[in-house]
Amino acid sequence: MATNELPCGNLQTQTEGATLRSYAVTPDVLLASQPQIEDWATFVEQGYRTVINLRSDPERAAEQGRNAEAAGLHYLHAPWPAYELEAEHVEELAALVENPDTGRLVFHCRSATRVGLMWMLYRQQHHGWTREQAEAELRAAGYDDDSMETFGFCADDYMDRVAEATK
Amino acid sequence: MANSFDQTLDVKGAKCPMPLVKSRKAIADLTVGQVLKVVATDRGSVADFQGWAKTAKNVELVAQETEQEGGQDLYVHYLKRTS
Repeated sequence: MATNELPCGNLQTQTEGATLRSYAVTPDVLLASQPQIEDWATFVEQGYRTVINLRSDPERAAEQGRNAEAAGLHYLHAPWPAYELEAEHVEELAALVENPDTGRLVFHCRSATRVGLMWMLYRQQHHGWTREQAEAELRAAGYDDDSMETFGFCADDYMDRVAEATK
Repeated sequence: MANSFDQTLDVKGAKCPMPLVKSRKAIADLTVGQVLKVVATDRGSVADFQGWAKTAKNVELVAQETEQEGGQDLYVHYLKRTS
């Protein structure tokens, strides 16, 4: 087995450049993987008004925010910790989604999985949907079985921690 | 020089954010100062673990490296519990 220690920066750049994957969960909300620079104008052409970036890197978000704003989008960086979400993070998302000023929304992370998880939790916590209803919406938008397994595992972890916090 | 560790977590095949969620749970089972080796196939885990280590209160990212196993890239992360 070969081992190569690489500078973190080199490894991180390898995560860029993938083709956009997107999932329209409603006519007004698109869950997406990392957009590329040419995607911002496409979103505008498609009628989207706001972009929320869930990814953590503030420098990358600042650069992408400049590009998105230049294309005419309203850009928000909201690095909620998908590995340790709290109820208030889901409510912050709900407030943005349901703010009339947000308009049609693109909500993205790197692979579109974290945003799918947050969307599931938003439906369950804020709208009172069952897990099955939330999963059905995500499946209808195109998420696969692997994604569902991830959503289920992480949603169980979230629900356990929220229940523990409210004891 | 090889990195030392106390426990190994295999998250090969797991998609973000599952590697982080499982690592957070595994770190909680370590004592302060112990190191968790996490083996992932998700390339994005590199940036994800860097981001987690910047914000988590009890985790230090000691090292990251790539390995090859059967023609597949593995992304290996060493995380120390700090409190």
